[in-house]
Amino acid sequence: MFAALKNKSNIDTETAYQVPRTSLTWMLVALVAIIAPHVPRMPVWLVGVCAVCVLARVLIHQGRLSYPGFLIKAGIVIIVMTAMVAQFGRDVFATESTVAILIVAICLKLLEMHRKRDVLLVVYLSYFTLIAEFIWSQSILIAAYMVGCVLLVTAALMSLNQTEEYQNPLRTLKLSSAILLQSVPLMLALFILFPRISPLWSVPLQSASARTGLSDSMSPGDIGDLIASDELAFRVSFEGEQPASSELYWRAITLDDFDGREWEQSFNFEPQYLGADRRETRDWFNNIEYQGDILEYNVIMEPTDENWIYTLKVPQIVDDRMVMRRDFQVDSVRNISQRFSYDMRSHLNHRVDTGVSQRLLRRWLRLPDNSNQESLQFAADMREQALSDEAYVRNVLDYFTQQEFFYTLSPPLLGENPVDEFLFATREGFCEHYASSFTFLMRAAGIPARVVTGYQGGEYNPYDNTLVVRQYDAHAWSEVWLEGQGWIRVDPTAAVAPYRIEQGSQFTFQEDEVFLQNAGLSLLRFRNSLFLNDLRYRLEMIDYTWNRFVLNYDQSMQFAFFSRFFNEVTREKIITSSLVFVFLSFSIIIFMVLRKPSRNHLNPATELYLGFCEGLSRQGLSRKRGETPWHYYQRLSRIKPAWAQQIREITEKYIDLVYRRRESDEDKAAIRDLKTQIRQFHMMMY
Amino acid sequence: MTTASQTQAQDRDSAEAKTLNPYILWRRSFVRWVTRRIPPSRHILLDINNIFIIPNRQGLGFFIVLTLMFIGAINYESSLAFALVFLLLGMFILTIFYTYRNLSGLHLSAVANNMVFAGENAEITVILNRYGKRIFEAVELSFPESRKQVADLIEEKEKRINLFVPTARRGYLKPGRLRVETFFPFGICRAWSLVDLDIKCLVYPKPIECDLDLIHSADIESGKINITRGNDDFYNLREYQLGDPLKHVAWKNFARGQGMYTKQYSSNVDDKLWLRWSMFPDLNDEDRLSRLCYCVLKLDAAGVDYGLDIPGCTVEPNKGTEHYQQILRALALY
Repeated sequence: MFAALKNKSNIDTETAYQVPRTSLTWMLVALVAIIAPHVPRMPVWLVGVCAVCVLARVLIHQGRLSYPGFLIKAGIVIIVMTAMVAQFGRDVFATESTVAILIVAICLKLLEMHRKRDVLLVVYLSYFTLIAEFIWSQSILIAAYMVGCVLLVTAALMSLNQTEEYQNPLRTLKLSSAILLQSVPLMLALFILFPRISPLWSVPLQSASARTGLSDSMSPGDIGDLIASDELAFRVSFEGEQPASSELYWRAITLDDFDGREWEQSFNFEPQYLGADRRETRDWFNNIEYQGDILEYNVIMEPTDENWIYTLKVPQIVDDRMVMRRDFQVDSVRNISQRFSYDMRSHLNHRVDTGVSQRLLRRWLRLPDNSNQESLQFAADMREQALSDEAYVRNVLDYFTQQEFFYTLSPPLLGENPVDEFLFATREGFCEHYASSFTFLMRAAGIPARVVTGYQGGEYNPYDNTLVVRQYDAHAWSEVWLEGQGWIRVDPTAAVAPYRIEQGSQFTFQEDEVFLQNAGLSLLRFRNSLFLNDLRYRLEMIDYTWNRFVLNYDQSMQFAFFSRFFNEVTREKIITSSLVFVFLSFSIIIFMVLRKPSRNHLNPATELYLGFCEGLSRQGLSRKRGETPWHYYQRLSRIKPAWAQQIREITEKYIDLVYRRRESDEDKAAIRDLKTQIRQFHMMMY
Repeated sequence: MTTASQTQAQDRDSAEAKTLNPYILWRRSFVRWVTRRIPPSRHILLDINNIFIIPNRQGLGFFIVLTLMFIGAINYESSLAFALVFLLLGMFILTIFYTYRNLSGLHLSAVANNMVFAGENAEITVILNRYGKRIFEAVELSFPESRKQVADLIEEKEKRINLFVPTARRGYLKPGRLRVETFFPFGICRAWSLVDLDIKCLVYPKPIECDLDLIHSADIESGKINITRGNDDFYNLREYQLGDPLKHVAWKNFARGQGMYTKQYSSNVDDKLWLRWSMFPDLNDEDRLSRLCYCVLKLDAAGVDYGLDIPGCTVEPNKGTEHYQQILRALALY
């Protein structure tokens, strides 16, 4: 019964609610602006549904269409949900599809916005959808765009609370931006102060498979494919001097198992891990011999949805978000689904694993039995001729140099025995061909060897002293274990094409049509133009600064920021100074907001007198409408005889000031006099 | 007898107090507190002393959305999402002050339009004034029993808003405290004040139709009718009132400087009608007053002189707006 009554009253009072035209316009514009960047990630039909909803809402507002009935709404929801499940399948709860559902839900809600509550829901959900875009992109451009969107949604919210007669879009926009601007100090303070919490639960992203980058296996052609992409892989800033380009072998993955065609990471043994805390210090780590200086650097890597991170050998991890494997590959504890920033230290000159047991080394000797027989025989012959393992390594490299081997981006396809075909038939290959066959020849001769993939070199940006490493810098090389020297790096590509290592891949391949073929209209295409190249460097610098100091702001940066102001930074100091900052900036803003309205149209005496009356009205003795100051005094003197004398003086002075002409100097003195007297009276009153 | 009714009232009060939910109890003590805090005044300036402010349900919704966004920011470790959440949080806090500002500095007063009969809506004009540059937008005004009116004070310095309060009984109507409320700019905070503008509205009895012949019959019954029947002889002088015919003015007296007087003739007395309590012997007080009120309306429209004679109040026959209002007032306050 009660429910029925309530329903009825809802119908009576609230269905009559019509969204004001201006508010609706604000809302729809904001909504379209918010949805726009999501469109490329949404199925086309879903974009269509959203567009139809927005259009229908406009028609409903114009009265050309009525609100859809329950059956139609239910039908639409069921159809859309079924189609979503059909489209995304099991991924329907992944982030991408969840956001798509959220967007389509908002659009459908447009069709049943009967009440103010519904309108508010749409506005709030719009705010929520805003942050969804940041999951995919946090570039400066997107950030600027989103600021615009926030402004639009805020204006829509404000316009909902304005009367219809006074809908002035410009004023709404001005006031909204003023309030948002005034919120910026608090935002900055919280941004700087607020401790960053690690995620509460893991969130699957759908586009994992779509990422360009290295994979955890390597077969001929894999790395060559990356050459077509100019996507950013990571950026490095070095503390101090930057090492020579030929030293920059960024290790990502070490590959141990070979099946005759493909190199894979071995899962046959339990990898040993070393954490940053080194609670269980390993012998193999203690036995590393370091020579020369330590190199410190910061890396900001793009998301890979994998675990490995890029380091120079031999790394020392200082961060408990990552662990190091037995083969010096460093893994992040969590999948890198977001841009990831880390500090790293490396000893470029080192000797590792010199005293390692033969039993352990055996796993880097395994080869498949029935493949590449020709190469096996070739290796055995070569080893017999060589005096030592070292001589054998040199001989094989010489073989690559002296025979007619070609370094090319578009090598012929290889069949069942790729090593045999490459070494003795085609002789055209990219780095993975060389690394793969070289490692094979090493293992065939009894020398422990492995393939390492990663990136080589990078582009140096003179404006911010950073090294930019792109996908086309992807590379593969070998590591071999030699008695007395431990694991050393051997890059057969360097023997065939030394310029690749010295000058980087963009100079090596710039004439090649495969190079950058997926890069679109990238500024990189114009690196021969001095001006455009300079422009590109500058844009990259801005982007890097943004990434490093805004997107990857963390606790260590928090301390670095505060160390500019304090000799010794402690958490207490950070909190105190931030609170002081928030308090001060907010006080100023609130003072500006709440400043007493000026009565600038009144003369100073009247202003003072009105202040005096206000004081009295707080005591319940307010001046009646139309009561002259003198009558007011007379009435007050009857109610409060004790104050009569003072009130009389004040009133007389006021009347004197207002109604009698004086010289301006005298006037000022009199006003000051009146002011003191009123102040004294107020003091007395309380 | 008094003690009996008092205990009865106490019983009822305590029973109410026991059964009522805490919210209503809280409301009641709030109203008491408000009465003490904002004393009645003809003219009220809204400021820190009389404005209350609190985030409302929409504000709670906004906060929940912010919390969800914050969780999202944590989970996706998105710096910009954090920044956005912090920005909106700043906006939320600022809104409290902006909403307060939208009332602070507003001057309020009110006048009541007195011509209202019980059962009709009393019209109360609330006058909003602003001085200086500050503007006020979407300020909602309402009395406990009136509908809400929304006012903007943007370009103009003064605005008059008419509120209609339903009346049930004759006599003085206190419309209760005026609720001045605003949700501007974002609807996530409510700033409001409950002010007593010290107005009361006189409500006349509800007119109920009756037979106008009763007026004469009552006079005949009481025997006074004979006196009023007579010739055109001069009868009396009385002070001139607006609306008296000019030809009846005692110009001689006026020329002597004795003031303006109207000559009354006994034939005029003939037209003078008395509305008496005894006209409706079988009715209760309210019904009598309602019928008397109806007679007053009719007689005033007819433009004849009439007097009122009810217990505790006698008004000499006369006519004109002032007289008319005096009589209605007497009926309202009986």
